[in-house]
This record gives sequence, C-alpha cells and structure tokens, in this order.
Amino acid sequence: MTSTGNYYDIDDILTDGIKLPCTFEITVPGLGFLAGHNANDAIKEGTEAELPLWLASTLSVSQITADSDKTFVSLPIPTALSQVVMNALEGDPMSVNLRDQSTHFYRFVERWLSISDLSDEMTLRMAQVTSAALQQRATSIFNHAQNPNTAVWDESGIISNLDELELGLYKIAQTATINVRKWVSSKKTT
Amino acid sequence: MEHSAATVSYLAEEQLVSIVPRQSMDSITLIGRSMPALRPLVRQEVPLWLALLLKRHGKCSIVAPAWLDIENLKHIYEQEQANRNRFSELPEHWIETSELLLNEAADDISSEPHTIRALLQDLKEIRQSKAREGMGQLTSSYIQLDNLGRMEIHELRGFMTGIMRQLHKLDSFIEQPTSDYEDD
Repeated sequence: MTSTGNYYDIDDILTDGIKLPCTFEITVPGLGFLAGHNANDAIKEGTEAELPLWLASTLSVSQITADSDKTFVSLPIPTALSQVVMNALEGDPMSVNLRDQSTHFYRFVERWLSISDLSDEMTLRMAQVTSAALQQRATSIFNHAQNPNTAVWDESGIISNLDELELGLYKIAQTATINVRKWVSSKKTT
Repeated sequence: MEHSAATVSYLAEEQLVSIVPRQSMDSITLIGRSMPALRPLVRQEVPLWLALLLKRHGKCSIVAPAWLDIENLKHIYEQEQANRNRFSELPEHWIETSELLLNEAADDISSEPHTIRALLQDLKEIRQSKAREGMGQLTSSYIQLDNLGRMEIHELRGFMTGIMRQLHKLDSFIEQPTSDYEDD
C-alpha cells in the first residue's frame, strides 16, 4: 500500500518530488548541505530542512534503532493538507484552488495517508474530506467539460483551480463530448 | 481512447432492421452472417448497414422501428420527467440508430421527421442532465447506469471511471480494517 507507484508514471515522479519541511530529530554528520551549510558539516538535531516526499516519507517512518520511538525526521502536516484547507474543502469544495495547494493534490493526499497513522482522527478526516470533495467537484467539472462555451474562455476560472488528475479527466470528458458532436455533424453532411 | 463515437455507431449498424425491398437480390454469404435473398415487397430483416446502403441506391424502404414513433417518444419523455431518479427504457443504440435513420431515411421513418428530431433532442437533454446529477452520487464502487445507451455511456465512461478510481484509492484508507484485498 505504501508505494502506489508506477516507475514510469510522470505524475508519480512529480508527486515524489514535492518538497516538505521536516525537522531533524538527531544530528547527522555530513548532511549539512541539506540545510544549506557546508557539505562537511553535520546537520544538527532540530534543524529544519526541506526534503522531497520520497526521502522525507522514508525518514519519517523509520526508527533510529529498533527499540526507539524516535524517527530520523519529524514531519508536520504540510500547508497544502492543513486543517485550513480541509475546512475550506468541506465547506465549499469548488471554492478551493487545488492547483495552488499542489499540482498533484490527490496523489499527495494519498501518499501522506500511506505514511500516517490512520487511527488518528485528523488523518481519517483528511481522507474523508478529500474523497467527498472529489465526488462533489466531479459534478462541476463534468458540467463544465460538456459546455462548449465555458470550455474556451474559462470565465469562472474553474480550469485553473483543478489539480492534474482533475484536469486530465476534464480533458477526457471534453474530448468524448466533442467526439460525439463531431460524429453527429459528420453524419449530417453525408 | 478505446472507443470513439464512430466505433459506437459502427456497432449499431450491426443490428437488424426490417426493410421492404424494391428489387430482388441474391443471398450473399459473408464471414459474419449471410444476407438473405431479397424479393420485391417481401419484408426482410437485414443489418442496418445493408439497409442504409440499399436505401441510398433507392432499392428499398426501411420500416421504422416501433420505438421510433412520435407517440412512443412522447410517452418516454413523460416517463423521464416523472421519474427523476431513473432512466426510462430505450434500446441500447437509440441515439446512433435514430441519427442514422433520420439522416438517410427520414421519409420512411415519419411524415414529421422534425417533430421526431425535436423529441429525441429533448430526451437526450433530460437524460444528460440526469446523468450529471447522478455524478454527485458517484462512489468508489457503484454507479447506476441502467437503460443508458452506448453513446451516452461513451460520453461518461472515461471521466466516471477516472473519478471512481481515485475515490477508491482514497476510500481504502477510510475503510482500513475491511480492505483485505489489494487494489490494481
């Protein structure tokens, strides 16, 4: 479950590259460059550094020693997945600009959930809110995709607030609609 | 994309329709099925593509399918309005068939092809708006699509399955204890 990934999936790779602010729980020699110091320096306990998701997720779940609760880094909930965003998504799903939060919002949520403690109420809520939000956003996105006029101008700004998954599906829905229309008109001329 | 509208329409042309031939034609054996011998004014069932081909050459007239009738379509439209939660029964290929027949054999179908066209358009629209409403009830595992035609499903499929796939992934975190199966 932890790896959702397909090695060649570009969206997966991009999700892996999302930078997360982490705090080192122990001092590690020779990693100073992560915090912008000299390469030979140690990175000190308590130092904050931005690590990509693939690295941060491993370090945040692996214990320093087998019998220790301590992990290499602690990983606070990132801004994109914060309570503020979840509250807004719960209130009016369409009002949130997901793209501003993350270009791969849903995958990000998924990856976050896969390294989180699911008995935690906040984590569970994140899964529920995100799932409900996608379900509701689907209706608006589909309506928008089927309407040929809004599709060109995006006056409502809907398209610029979709994450990559939604944008991809928007294109699929739009292509299918156009495809049917073209078929109808091709039959008319013959 | 696996299926285009043209493919869906191609599949529709395989279904049988009744024609009244104006000329004789010997039976033809094809790989899929054999075409029956035709005698003038003797009704025969042939695939829609052959019917349209003969019609184009003025060699037959096509008998309108029973459902493609003004009274029946009005009735179906009323049903659509009365039951907001379900789609009324129409043949699987209703959009493709009606489109093809009205374009190429309108004179055989009805004395008022425009009325039929308008009714079909109304039906399409009311059903589309229902499908959109239904989108709000999508879950990760279930969607009700009874009585939707191929062409209607064609418009929905890619989008719906994409949303459902993602919902499934997210929901698997919510229902942890019961998920003893792997996705993908």
